[in-house]
Amino acid sequence: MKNSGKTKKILTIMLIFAFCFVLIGIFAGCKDNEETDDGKVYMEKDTIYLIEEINLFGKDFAGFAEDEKSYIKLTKQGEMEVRLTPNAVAISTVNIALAGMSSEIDVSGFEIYLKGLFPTESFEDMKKTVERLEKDMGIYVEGLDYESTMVKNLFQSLKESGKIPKGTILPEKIAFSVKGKYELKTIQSKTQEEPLRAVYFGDYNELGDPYIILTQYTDEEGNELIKIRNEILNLTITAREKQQENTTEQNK
Amino acid sequence: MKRKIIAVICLIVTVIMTLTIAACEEKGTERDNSSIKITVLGDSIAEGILGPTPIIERDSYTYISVVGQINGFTYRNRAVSGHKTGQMLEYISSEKDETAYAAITTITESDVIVVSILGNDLLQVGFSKYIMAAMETPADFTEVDELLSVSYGNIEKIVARLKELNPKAELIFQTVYNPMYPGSTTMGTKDKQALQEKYPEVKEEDFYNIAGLLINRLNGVLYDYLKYHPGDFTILDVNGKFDALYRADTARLDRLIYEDCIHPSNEGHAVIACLLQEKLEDLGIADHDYAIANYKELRKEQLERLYSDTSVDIKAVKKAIDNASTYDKINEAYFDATNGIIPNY
Repeated sequence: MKNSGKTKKILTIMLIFAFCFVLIGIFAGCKDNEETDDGKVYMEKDTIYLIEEINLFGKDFAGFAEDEKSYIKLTKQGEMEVRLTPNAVAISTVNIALAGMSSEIDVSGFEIYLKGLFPTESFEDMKKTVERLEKDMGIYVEGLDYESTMVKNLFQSLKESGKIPKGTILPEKIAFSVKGKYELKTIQSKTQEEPLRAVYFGDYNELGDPYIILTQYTDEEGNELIKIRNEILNLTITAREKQQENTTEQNK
Repeated sequence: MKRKIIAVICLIVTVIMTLTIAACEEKGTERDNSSIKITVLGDSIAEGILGPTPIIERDSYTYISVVGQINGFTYRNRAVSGHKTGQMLEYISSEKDETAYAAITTITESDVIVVSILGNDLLQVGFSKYIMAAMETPADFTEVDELLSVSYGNIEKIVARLKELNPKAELIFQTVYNPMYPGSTTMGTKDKQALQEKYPEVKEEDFYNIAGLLINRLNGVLYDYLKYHPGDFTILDVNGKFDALYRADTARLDRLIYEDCIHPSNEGHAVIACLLQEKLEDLGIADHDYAIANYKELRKEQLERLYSDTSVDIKAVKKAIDNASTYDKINEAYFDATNGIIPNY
């Protein structure tokens, strides 16, 4: 009887010990597995910034963007969209240039880069390539009618010769957008007191940072702005926050 | 009977404890090295937009990412494709952080700064013309030397600026590798033909050594700088490594360079990563045992992610990786097996 009590005590202590050990293991040692998405900060409300400057290689292209349809949108769920819609002036300018081409445009040299970025894709099946752009990069081209004769001719010509055929023009309602996840970060700068407000766009390793980082800032008049900067293209896109009431309307 | 029960329970407890330890063993051996910051600056070789393939694997192939991840270092890539020394100097000369990339702050806070620059100074400006001049008898390096004297001046200013921003950082400059493997189009076909018409004895495989005359002169900018400023930085001899691999197997250089004949391929990045890793280990900044174990894991994870349902014998390659005793052996195991196989991603 005495031995039985002692045994129970030992068993109880051992079981408690084992139980605690497992709990510590789960909640301490392996805790990181449960924290994957914790700590990510998003905008408090869906916010649209209307694009007002597109500077590419030192030239201003803002006048070629459709005002209300070219924007950067950050949602409170962590989704971001950069949308560029060429306006009628831009489309007709490009189309006049295309119509003036005396021959086909050879773009075959680009295929090597296409295959590098997406090894399973090529000019062979452009529809599949466009779908790959959507899947891997979140890049969408809207307004392309794959059933139209012009697009069919374009894809066929790219497949056969790597050339854009004569007669190719931009569709009237073409638009480009990039969509993906974002996250807000605060970067403490050594060159200024006020921290930098960063928007990390896309996936990244926690030890690194993403390729695309946008900068949020407030101008002297108190307007909220956001900037995309790409050094390779010497590209700066600046967008200004749309007023609240308009934002709601846009969301509809 | 009671003793048996106690023994069984003891066994169960031991098993639970062992399993728990095993489950968390990976975490237990992880170290937090994230306070060590490594940054790469310079050009497209470092930026790794063209070269790593598929592009969604960029963060597992570019050498700065690989070195950062296998050591657990915080890493930043602030290189810009197309930059020559003059443009890089301008980029780092900004007085303040212009954007949230915070380039100036990143440099200021880095423990290690790796620089890949110089390549575009030569390759973007009349590479073929300089090769022709180098072939003259006697060789004429007048024009290229004028060009490189400008590069030298820029390197002086770049080093001075980096040291002004961060005097304590370990500064590492890479040499530029020779991209002229047989069949390379770095020198245009017409230029090659013109050269061969003038010098009929020149064969396709000779272009590597001919280009090497200029590449050595280009890299000489770094070595010359160190003659006058010893100890200002360490050289990472990427050219020496690529050249050694080429001399051992001429077909290998083709694999190290991407199809555009300029940028490092996945394998090229891996070779640079491992060279950099060994340098960091020599400098006492990185731990070999820790990093090589992580490097094996990184490549094995990629095998699973990219080459399942392909002809790659994943099990055999993993075994070869596990048995590899050096970084080079790991690279050989991974890239020999995956060379020419389209990933399934």
